[in-house]
Order: sequence, then C-alpha cells, then structure tokens
Amino acid sequence: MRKEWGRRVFQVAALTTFLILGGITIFLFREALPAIIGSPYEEIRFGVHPTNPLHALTSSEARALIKGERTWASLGGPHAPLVLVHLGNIERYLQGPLTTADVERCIDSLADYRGVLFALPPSLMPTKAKPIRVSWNSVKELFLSIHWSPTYEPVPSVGVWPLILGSLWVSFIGLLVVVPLGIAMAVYAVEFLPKHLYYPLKIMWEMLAGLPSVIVGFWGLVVLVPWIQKVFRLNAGETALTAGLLLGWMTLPLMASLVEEALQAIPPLLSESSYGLGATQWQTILRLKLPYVMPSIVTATLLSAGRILGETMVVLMVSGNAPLLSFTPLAPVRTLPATLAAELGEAPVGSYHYSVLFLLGSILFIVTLLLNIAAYSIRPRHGSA
Amino acid sequence: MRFLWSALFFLGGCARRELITIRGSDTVLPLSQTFAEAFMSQGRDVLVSVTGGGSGVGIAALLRRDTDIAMSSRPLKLGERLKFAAAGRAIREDTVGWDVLAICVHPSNPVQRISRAQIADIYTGRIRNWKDLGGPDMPILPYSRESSSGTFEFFREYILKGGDFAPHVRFIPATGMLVQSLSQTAGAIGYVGIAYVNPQVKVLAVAQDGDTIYFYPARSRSELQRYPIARPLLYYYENPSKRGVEEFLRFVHSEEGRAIVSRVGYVP
Repeated sequence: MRKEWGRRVFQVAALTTFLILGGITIFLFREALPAIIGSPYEEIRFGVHPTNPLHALTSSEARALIKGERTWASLGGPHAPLVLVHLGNIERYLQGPLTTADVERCIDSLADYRGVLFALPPSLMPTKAKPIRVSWNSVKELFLSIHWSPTYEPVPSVGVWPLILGSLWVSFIGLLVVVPLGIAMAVYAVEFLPKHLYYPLKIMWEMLAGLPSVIVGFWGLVVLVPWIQKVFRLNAGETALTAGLLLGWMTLPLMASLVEEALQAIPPLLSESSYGLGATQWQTILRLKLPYVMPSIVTATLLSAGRILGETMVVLMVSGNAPLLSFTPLAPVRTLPATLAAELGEAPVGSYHYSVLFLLGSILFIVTLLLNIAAYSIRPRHGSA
Repeated sequence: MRFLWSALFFLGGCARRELITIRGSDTVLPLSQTFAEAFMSQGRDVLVSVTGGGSGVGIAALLRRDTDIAMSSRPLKLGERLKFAAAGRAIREDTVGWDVLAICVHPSNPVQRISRAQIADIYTGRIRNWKDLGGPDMPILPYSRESSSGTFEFFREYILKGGDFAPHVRFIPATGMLVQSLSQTAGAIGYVGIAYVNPQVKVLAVAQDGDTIYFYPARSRSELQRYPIARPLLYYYENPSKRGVEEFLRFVHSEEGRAIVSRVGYVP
C-alpha cells in the first residue's frame, strides 16, 4: 500500500514538471508569434500633407527619412523639411496642461506643414492629412537587417543577427577556454592528485560553481576588463573575449565534473591491462583513457555550450552590450540573453518590442534544446564503446 | 476578552492615522523615501508608504486610484494626459527637485567642454574621434544606460532630439558600473546623474544650442537655466487631495525638505 502511494507521488511530481515545462514553452512561442505575423505599428496610422505625391514608403525609407539620412525630396516627396509628429515627441509642440480639444487643435495646425509625417492612432489623425502606407516585412526586418534599435519610434530596427553573432562569439571563446582546461582538470584530479588533496580540491571547484554570477561579473569589470584593455592595446576592455574568458572559467566545474565522472568509471581492468603491456601513464591517458571517454567529453562540451549560451549577468556586465556586427573577438558584443535581461523589464506587455524579445527567447530555447538533444543522443553509445 | 479589546483599540489607533501612498519612478524613489522618513519621524498622524516600479507604473496607479501620489522623472505623456482628461480627473503637477545629468569622460582626457549638438553627434555616430573636439587623435567610445532606464529615454528625447543611437554605443545596465567603465577607459564618454559623479571621472562643461558659453552641471536652482541637461522630478496627485497629501507636500517644500533634496544628490 505504502509502495503504491510512493509511486503515485513521484508520478504526480514528474507529470507536474512536464506540464509546467510544456506550458512555459507554449507561452514562449505564443508571445513570440506576433513578431513574425504582426508589425510595430498596428495601433497607428501614417499621414502626410495632402499635396505630398507619395502613397507608400518602405519601412527602411521611412526610417532613413526619420533619422535624417534621406530627405523627402530624395524619395520623390515635397521639397520641404520633415516634421515628424508621433505620440513620443508631440510634447515638443505642446505646452502646459491640456484638454483633448487643445491637442487636436495643435495636431491640426501641424498638418499645414508640407513636410509633415504623422504617426498617430486613428483617433488623433487630423482629417486633412492624406494617409500613406508604410510597409513592414517582418522576416526581412528581423533576419536581413543588421541594426538593432527596437525602441526607436515610430519605426524600430529589429535585426537579430548582431545579437546571434554576439552569442556565438562569446560561446566560441568560452568553449576554447573550458574544453581544454576542463579536461586537464579532470585528468589531473583522477591521475595525479594525492588522495588527501582530492576532497579539498573538489570542494573548491564546487564553490566556484556556486559563486553568484554578479560577483564574477563585477570582478571581471574591475580586474579583467582593464587587463584585457592593456594586454591587447585596445581602446576599451569590454569585449567578446572578456565575456568568453569569464564564462569559460565559470563553466569549468561543470565540464571538469562530467569528464572526471567518466574517467572514474573506466573499468580498472582496462588501465591495468594497458600498464601490463608496458605502457607509461601518459600513454595510457592519451591512447586509452581519453579516447574511451570521448563521447562523454563531447556531451560535456555540448552541455557547457548550453550553459555559456544562456548565462546573462556576467555578459551584461563585461561584454559592452553594443549591438555591433563584429568579426573580431576584440569588439564589444550584445548577446541574446543579455538583451532579454536588459530590455524585457520595460517593454510594454503585448507590444512589438515585447514579441521580438520573446522571439529571441525562442531562438535561444531552440538552440539550447538542440544542444541538449545532441548531448544525450551521444551518451548511450558510451556503454558499448 | 481583554485581548479582543486591546486589538480593537489597536485597530482604532491605526485608523486615526491617515495612510498615504507614493508610487512610481525609481529615480525619485530615494528622495521620496528620505522625505517620508523625516516626515514621519516628526510624530505626525500620517503614515507614508513609498514604492518604486518606474514612472509609467506610478502614473497608471494614480489613474486607477491605487496611489495618492505618483512620482515621475518625466512629464506626463500625451496619451496619459488624455486618459486623465477622459476620466474627468483634475491632476496637479509638483516639481520636487531636479536631476542634473553630467557628461563625464576619463580624467586623462584634455577636452574641457562640449556643446549639446556635439553630444548628439557623438551618440548618433557622426563624430567618431576626439580630435574633432580639439582633443587627441583617439576614437570616442560612447557609453549609455540601457533602454529600460528613464535616463536613457530622457537623453534620447532631449539630447539626441529623436535621433537614434549608433550601433557602436556600449550599453551598461547600471549607473555605478557605467562610472566604473568611464574611469578605466581613456576614450570614453558617458552621461550620469550628478549624484553618481566621483573623482575618478572628469565632468565636462556643456553649452546650450546656439550658445558659446559653457557651464558645469548646476548645483542650485538659479544655475539650472544655463545648464542644458536637467530634468524635473515630479509628483502628480489628485486635486483636491487628502489632508495627509497636502501636509506631506508642505513638508517637501519646507526648508527641511529642500535640504533633503540636496543631501540625496539632486538640485532643489
């Protein structure tokens, strides 16, 4: 009877976990969907002066116009300077406490500028303004643009490549650190470490795993950042390299523990046969043990990659967070998780910015899932190796 | 039975003390907290409860009548004003202090001054080298707060005038960390609230648009006119309001309240 109950409890616990995980996954993708099928200006309409000959603009033309990179005339519009009016900047034209009538009167008077461009909710759009269509192609904006500025009103830039590339750089450098060092640590602990030092060392590296990442990040900012700046003669030390080094170092305990476990599990008979055949300790390690645990090393590498990819706080503090498309590790980068952490708090729920951030979350989720699936599909072969 | 009576007395005692709530901007939060502590320590029968969450959160709460005072580091947005007007609510605005932004560089940087337009050009990427500002031949490394910060929004609207940040601008999640980065990066420039400035960074003098006179960040009300990067810290409240709110605001504008503003690091 008691056994039966115990089984029930475990079943319920496991089922609940799966349901919650499933719920989070569905939530993540559902919130991300509007980033693909929606547009950042669903709530607003665009309008221009009635004499403006243009009927439609692409989103990149509108953005260039607003940023001052192009003029109305170069787009085939009027020879007049742009007067942009949207909810975010309308205070420039208004003074003091206002009634709705005052606001409408003010907007109406702005409609007389020949170079005006309105981006307003339909209820505030003056009747004399001529509607103009501004296109939005989500796939193009998300995956063919290289600029990230999602809060720029009224036409944001949401190119995700700088962020993906940033995450890849940091993970790549992190792995360069963690894989060789992790293997070395594991081999040292198993083969060379005197027995009485084994537990002190294990405790120390478990403590490294338990360090709050904000402490690691601050140490990185105060110590590692100036050091990188000096060594590489850079203008600033907040780079992908800095973040990668720190993350690689933070992931060491995970990598080393996994490899060490595998090394400990090698049947003693195998290594003893190796020694019996006259092989030295080095030969045994390099020719027998490491090849034997290779599947575990690959698994450990993939799991470490997942950890590094998802780490937030440290990257936020030492990577500089500039959304540059960089092709060198010595430039600042902005990673996917750092972007989520920095921007999600203030993105209005349900806005386009919010959906795009969830899309970034979904990308991160899929990549981590693939890494984990790969890691565990390699593992079973270990037994038969 | 005696327990019940004492409980009732206790509740009665609480009820006589009026509770007022303040909610909103995290920039104004330390100021309001200090106001509230000093105000309540004078043994009045008004309790003040202060919570942060951001300017938008406080204003939304005031609209729902969930708070008595909304603190904000920006004026009401048009949409918000229209909502209050549509609900037939009369809202009063009260400036309780000013937050002055200092433009800071590395102490080794020989540049002394900068105009507002030059700051905008640096952050939008039109000026890339200190030699364009009369300094050494060294790339400019602009630092900014993250887009979730109210300071960022203020900076973009009032300094960049709607321009967009260049992709090489580095974004830092907290002001303290930004100051740290400025103090260890030779070509850096950044904007921080005057309360965060320390001797490890150098403050530049700034000129208004179309002006050739440069001023260091204001420390008093009279200097605010000349320094171009200051924003009001505001209280919004219902008109007419609770007795406790009126009493609290009288304290805020008293000599003691003004001294608190300076002590917290803002300009009264």
